[in-house]
Amino acid sequence: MVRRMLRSLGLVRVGRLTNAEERVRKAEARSTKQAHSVEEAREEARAWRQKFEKAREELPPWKQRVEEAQKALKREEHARARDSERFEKVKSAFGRRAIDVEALQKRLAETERELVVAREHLMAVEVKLDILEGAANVLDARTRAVVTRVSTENAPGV
Amino acid sequence: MSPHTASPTLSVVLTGRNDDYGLGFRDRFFATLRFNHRELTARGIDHEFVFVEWAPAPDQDHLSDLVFREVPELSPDVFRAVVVDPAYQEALSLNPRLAYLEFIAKNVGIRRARGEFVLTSNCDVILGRAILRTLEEQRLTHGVVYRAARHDLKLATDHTNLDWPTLEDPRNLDGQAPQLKPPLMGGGTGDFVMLDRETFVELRGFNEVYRVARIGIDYNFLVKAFSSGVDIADIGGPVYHINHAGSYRLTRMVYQNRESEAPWGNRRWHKHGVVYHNPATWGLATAPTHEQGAGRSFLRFSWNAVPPLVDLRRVVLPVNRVGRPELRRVVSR
Repeated sequence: MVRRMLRSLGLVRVGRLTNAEERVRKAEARSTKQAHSVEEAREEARAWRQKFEKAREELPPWKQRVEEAQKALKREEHARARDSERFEKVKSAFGRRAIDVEALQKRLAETERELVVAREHLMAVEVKLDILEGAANVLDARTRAVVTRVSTENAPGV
Repeated sequence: MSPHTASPTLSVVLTGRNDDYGLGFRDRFFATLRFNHRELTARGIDHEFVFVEWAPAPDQDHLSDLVFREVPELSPDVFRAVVVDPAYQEALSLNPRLAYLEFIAKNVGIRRARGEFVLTSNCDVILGRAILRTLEEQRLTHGVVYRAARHDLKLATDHTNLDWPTLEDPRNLDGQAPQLKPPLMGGGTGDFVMLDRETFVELRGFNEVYRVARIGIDYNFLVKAFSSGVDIADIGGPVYHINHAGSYRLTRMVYQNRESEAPWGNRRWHKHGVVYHNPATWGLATAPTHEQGAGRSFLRFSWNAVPPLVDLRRVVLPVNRVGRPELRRVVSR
């Protein structure tokens, strides 16, 4: 009853007032804290915005660099493809050469053998010629001796 | 040699004539004979000398007549002489400048030797101790050509009474003996070529086909032997050569650039690269033989015994054999 009367008069009991004041204080404290958090978030957002702005300012050179790097990469890839193609060509040519060198070495060995055989036969021919020349000289001397003797014997007055 | 032994251990084949070759030939010959016979006998080495007196001059005494007077310790059993009619020299010669077909003369001796081993040497070559020891200990093998390096004695060395101190005194030696290089062991070859008689006969002796030069015929035999699969070995010690005026070693430079006039023919003929196959009648096998008393025979001239002037198919190339060094690599051409 009293409570109802007080309420109709716009009055509350002290205890209730104290509770209400306590809740208001807590709400204010929460509000202050939230305001502070909002401020902090705002500060952070500002910092991020600055970073973002800065990043946005720096983006065009990076973009250019990436484009350049991509172009360079493409060039390198082309060069590599060309080199690879050239390497394959050289490799193929080298293979052909290696086969040529092997054939050449074989031929050289054969020629060397033929040369040795030819030289041996030449030596044999030279020895035979020595013998033939010696025989010719001996026969010549013998013939001359006979002819001279016969001539002398047949000479008038002998 | 023990008297009348049919087959001594060693036949020493020598050739010469009384023409004073190199001045004082007779003295060198007799001194050498005396020494070698003494040393062989002292070691009990059964031996004979087969002396081929090639184409002796008609106006000179035969060495084979003088030898028993000069070296009385020799007997006809130990010293046999084969005198060869001078007509063979003329009939066989392919080079009038060669007054002496030395290696055909040696073939005459090889063909008539009776020893198990045959040593072809020269009349002024003395056997060294190592050779005598090898013979004494019977360490010779069949199928091996034995060679010995040659020590030249200085010209001034007195050779009348040769003994070991004289031979082995370095002051009497004309430099070092050359090293024999395998596999052919050439160098002063004519002074010492020893081989069992059977193999010597199989090889048919020294070259009788190429009668244009005298020099290098001995080396050519080594090429032929090697090509035929016969080993060549250093016997392990030297021979001593009584040096003399007119020796090839002392006079070869005199004929430089006029080889055709040299009394030994062209010394650059292909002795390293071309060999021969003598006819079966090598060594004047079919020459009529006249016995002229104890230990002496005479080969009378007969055209039937003379090989053809030219027989080119007997000029052949040496062969290389599996497992042996290639000839073309071991000889300098």
